Amino acid sequence: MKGVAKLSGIIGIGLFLHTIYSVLQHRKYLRLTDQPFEGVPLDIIVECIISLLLFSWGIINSQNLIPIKASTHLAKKSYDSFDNRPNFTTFNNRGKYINEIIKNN
Amino acid sequence: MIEAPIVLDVEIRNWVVIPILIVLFIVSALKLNFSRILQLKSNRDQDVEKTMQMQTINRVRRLTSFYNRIPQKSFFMRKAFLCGTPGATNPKNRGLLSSIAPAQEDSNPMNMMFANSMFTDPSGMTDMLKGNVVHLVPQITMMSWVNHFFSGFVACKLPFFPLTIRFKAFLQRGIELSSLDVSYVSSLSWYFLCWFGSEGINNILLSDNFVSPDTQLFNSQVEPGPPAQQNPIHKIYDGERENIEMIRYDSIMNNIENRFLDNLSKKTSLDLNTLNNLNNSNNNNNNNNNTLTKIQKTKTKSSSSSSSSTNTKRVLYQKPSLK
Amino acid sequence: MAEMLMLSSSDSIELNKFENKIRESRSFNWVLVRDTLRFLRKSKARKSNLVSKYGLKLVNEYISKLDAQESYDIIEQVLVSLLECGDDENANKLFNILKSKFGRESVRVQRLQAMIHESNFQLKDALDIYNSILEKYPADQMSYKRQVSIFKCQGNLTKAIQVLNTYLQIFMCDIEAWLELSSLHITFLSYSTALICLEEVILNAPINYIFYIKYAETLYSLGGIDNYNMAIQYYTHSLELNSPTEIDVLGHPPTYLPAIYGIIMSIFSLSDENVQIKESQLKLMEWAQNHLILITNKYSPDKLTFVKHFIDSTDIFNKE
Repeated sequence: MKGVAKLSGIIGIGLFLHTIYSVLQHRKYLRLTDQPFEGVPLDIIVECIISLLLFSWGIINSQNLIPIKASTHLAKKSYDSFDNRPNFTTFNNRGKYINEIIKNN
Repeated sequence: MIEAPIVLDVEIRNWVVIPILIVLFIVSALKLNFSRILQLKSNRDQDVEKTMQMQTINRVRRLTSFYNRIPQKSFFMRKAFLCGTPGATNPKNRGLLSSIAPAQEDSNPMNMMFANSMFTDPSGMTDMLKGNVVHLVPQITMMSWVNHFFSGFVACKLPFFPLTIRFKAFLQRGIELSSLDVSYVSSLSWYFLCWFGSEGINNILLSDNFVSPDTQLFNSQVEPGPPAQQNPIHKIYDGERENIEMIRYDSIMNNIENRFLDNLSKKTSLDLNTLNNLNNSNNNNNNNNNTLTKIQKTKTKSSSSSSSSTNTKRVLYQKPSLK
Repeated sequence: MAEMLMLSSSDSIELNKFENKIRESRSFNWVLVRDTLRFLRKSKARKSNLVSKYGLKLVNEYISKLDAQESYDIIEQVLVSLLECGDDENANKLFNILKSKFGRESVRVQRLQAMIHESNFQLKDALDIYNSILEKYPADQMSYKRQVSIFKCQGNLTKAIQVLNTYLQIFMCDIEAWLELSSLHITFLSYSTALICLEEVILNAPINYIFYIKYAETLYSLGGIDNYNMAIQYYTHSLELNSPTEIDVLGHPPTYLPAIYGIIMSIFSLSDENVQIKESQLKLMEWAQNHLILITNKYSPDKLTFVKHFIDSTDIFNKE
């Protein structure tokens, strides 16, 4: 699924670049044949819209989206995660004694 | 009507296009280092008073937006602490937000603004000045340098397809030729193109010298103080006090149980409903759809008919018989 | 990759994954250790043993591979957890690296020096250092906080509360400090004072469900009909923020269990007070009981009997 989405995104970009090139070509052609510029031809417009749709679909589906609600991110924190306050740590804990035991063994 | 390409002198490339590029790179490297030195030296004064005022404002704003999360009593307690009790004459009871008296100032608003924003707080002004010096001065000198030496001729030609005619003013600054193709670029415009384009490249090339804010903290002293305040502090305090006094207390905790349960049943066909359905199908004999009435019945009846009511309430497990 | 994992699981699960991977990998995987340390810095979980053991190796052998900016943060992190584990020898080594790099003048280096003093219980020296920093930079938050923890270390909680109060008069938006103050007050059993601190925390972080649970728990401890009612409301609000309906979307075990247990206990205690329990509360109670069983069934079926016994003993519907 993600591979398909990525592919469609790339195709979308490619098509979009192609439309740009087509418009430039079209204008050049009009200039050479001395015709006034009256608008982009229909097939290019359709191609542009298709490229947009493909690209947006691809970009939306090619990766996991993060939920937009901020509370869902906080829901990942477990209840006791705020009981550790690193700025207020004290060092009179059992660490020293355990460390001695580990060293002696 | 395809124009014959203009032949540009090789000397122009060697003595104009490439030197501008090199000089630009050197100047931006200098600028980066220079601004770093200035930044290290700029220790904003750590003013406890000012920090406290900023934090007070922050706290009051949070109270005005989230007051409905705390109980009514607590809200009024905070209101009394911040705004004071009404009709209090003792300055102690007038509240935190009235604690700062407006200083004697000129009536002229211009003067007042200046007095409060800049001249009373020189660190803010010097910071601004430094920023200007670092960014503006080299740009002006470089521009006048390019303009003075290399104006009046085409410096280079851009590759790729031609841009539209609107870019002419941007790409051919200093050359007033209406018939010239847009892809030809004057030296001043070349300078601009390089200026805007080289920023990312410079960042990569000079990234060894680039210091992240975190390590800067190690080097320098401590976290910088709060930024300079624009408005006089007592005016902000007054505004915030009015905001608090306008609040009509209302709690979001009112009727929250019903709201929560409603949302639950709305959002999903959640376990409560499915369980109820299961209940209903399990014992059709004495059951109607409302479980709740049953519960209350059981509560009043207490243990008289416990066997049937236990069954109706939960199906997921069998209640162990206590008797 | 790491980013994606973090989206789909809770912090504690993520941490366990990191830990298992480190312990299982045969050779020393410095990238993994670096990522773990990064995650720990971000999530603020406390794993001193892990950090000191593997972080020390990382700093000693792979320091050249680390990003120059990050390496000093890592050294500081490892140093503090070495101190927590009581390994002063290595901590001093790391401290000398930082000292030679940044000099004695840097406030952060001075602070670390003071923390080394603290772990050797030379509390007076540490206090002197913090005081000298505060003289120079009166708005240095860390030094204030360290002073509080020195008094806490001495067991002088009254003094700790006093210092913390003066600190909070200046920095009144510091959630961590308010939490600390509330826990200090709770050790003195002055729940109503702790409630004021927790209200301040809620005002500062109004969408964090944990603080509502903490608030409700304190209300519950205080007791009384009004407080039980309010506790139920706050538990329910925390459930609104960490919603049971989104559990399938999140894809990790629920983190709101304290709220459900809280609701059950509060309503149970309320029923002892001889008051008419509201209809909505009864509904809530029934939902909570059912949901608790549902969750237990799904995530840890082996504990189902305990949960059932808990529910039976707090049952208000069939009270004999």
